[in-house]
Amino acid sequence: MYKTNNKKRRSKTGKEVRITTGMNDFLMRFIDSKRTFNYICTSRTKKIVTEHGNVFFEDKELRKFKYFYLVNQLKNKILEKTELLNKYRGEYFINPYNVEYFDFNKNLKNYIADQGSVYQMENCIEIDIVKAYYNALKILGFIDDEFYNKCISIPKQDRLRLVGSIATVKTVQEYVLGEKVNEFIQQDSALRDVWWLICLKVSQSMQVLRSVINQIDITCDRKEKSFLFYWVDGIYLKEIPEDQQIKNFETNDIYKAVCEELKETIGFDYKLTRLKKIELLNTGKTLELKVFKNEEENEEDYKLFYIPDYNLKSYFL
Amino acid sequence: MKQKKIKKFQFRNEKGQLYWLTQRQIINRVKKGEILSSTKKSNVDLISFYEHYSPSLEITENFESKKRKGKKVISKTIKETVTQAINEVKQEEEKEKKKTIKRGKKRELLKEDISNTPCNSVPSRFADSDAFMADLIVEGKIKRKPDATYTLTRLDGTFFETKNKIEFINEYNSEVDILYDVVDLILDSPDKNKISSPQFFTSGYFFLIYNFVIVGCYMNFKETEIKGCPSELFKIYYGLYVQNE
Repeated sequence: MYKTNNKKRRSKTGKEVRITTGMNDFLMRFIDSKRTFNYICTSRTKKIVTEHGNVFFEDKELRKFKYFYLVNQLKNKILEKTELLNKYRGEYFINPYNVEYFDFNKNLKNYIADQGSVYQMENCIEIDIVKAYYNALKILGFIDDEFYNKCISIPKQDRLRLVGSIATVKTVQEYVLGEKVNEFIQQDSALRDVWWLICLKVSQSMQVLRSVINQIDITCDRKEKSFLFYWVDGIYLKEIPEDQQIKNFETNDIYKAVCEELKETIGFDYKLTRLKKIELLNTGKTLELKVFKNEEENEEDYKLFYIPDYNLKSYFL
Repeated sequence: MKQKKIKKFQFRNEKGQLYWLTQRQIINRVKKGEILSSTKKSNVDLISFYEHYSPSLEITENFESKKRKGKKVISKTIKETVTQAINEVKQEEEKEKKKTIKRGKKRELLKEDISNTPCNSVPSRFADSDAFMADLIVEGKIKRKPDATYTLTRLDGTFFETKNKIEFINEYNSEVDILYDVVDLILDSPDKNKISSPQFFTSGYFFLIYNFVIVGCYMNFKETEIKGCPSELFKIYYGLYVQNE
């Protein structure tokens, strides 16, 4: 017997049924009854498409997403700019393996040897790019200021889903009389290229910032590096102590000046935040970084990052 | 008896160290001709002190120009540093591009659109790996697994699981080494022409999620009904490789 207690909603045309649970039951029912249909999946949605109607599954979180109209607008705006994309295809090496999403100071493990020990770092700074991926789209010219302002005005989780929709990949399984005959992946290569391009733009700006910070360390004659790590669009560093600062200038001025210069050359807006502390932990199995911001007084409010093991090999074709 | 609070102003010496002076102390030092460097926090109008207490020194102009010169030097350094960093990143990008071109056919195959390639099954956890990665990166969050067990599906299909990190790394690295060898064997072999589909390796990559930190993207093999399909070839050459080992 199939489960029938899932909640269903029928669309206005009556041709689509929307559910939040029980998709596998529907699929098995269709296969057992030897029907002809397509089964289309993304990471968040699943859809059965037949000639008579559709069954659409979305998780409960996605149901709260109210900005599907912006998804199509965003994609159309990007797809209109094919000449621009072709220009960037010549200028940048657009490839997923060319994107470094994160990097950690390789010497961090030297601060902490024993399992269970904690190394606390105070006077740390976070520099992060404001609305990184949307800014990247604007700087590259795919969206204008008006659309940018519209996107950044929506709540954060919805905003992230909206920009992530550029990278959608659908898996399509074709069934004829209950038998799977074909399976393929459907994606728009132009949209995917734009996605990797904005990831690349953000990662390159982080690499530039990392390089500048390392150079400042050399100029200030620092014994240890300020750079701790960067993660997607935020970089974390230790402040230069007073006795090692550049003459007549406080640290904040140096980093502010760097951010202003980067804004002129690359175009991103940067936000500088002083952190309460960063803790480095050795759990025995992993090295972890806990970032505590000043605003959060609760000791349980922190961001957690796992430091990858650089001993692992990778194979890229 | 109530103690009178004396206001102090912040200065910085040549070594960059901070110190505090009262107004009287400032005046005494200025009279002696000592050059002082104030900070933003102190908000002291040093020029007026010098004009009043040490006019003969003609330091005002030098002080201002020295201050300005110092700022210019710093600004120029930052500008140069940023330009240098951007060039370094571009050079790295060019190096990566050259590496890619050198690999030639392998990379070209990767770049081609896979949507026209027929196949009859794709392991579901591999198929939407790029979308999963996009979601993960966009959200910027990694969720912690309740038990820190490391898992790996070996190339021969067997499953390996351990809670020992070193053991896991060794097992994983040895699988990658085999992967390198077998793929090179196939791409250099005449059997490669048996593949009717133009793509060999597609963009559906499987993840090695090592404690939920993504450490790389790897290969996905798709099965097809066409004779000599990639995964069948892989199985043949893997068998030969293992036999010869």
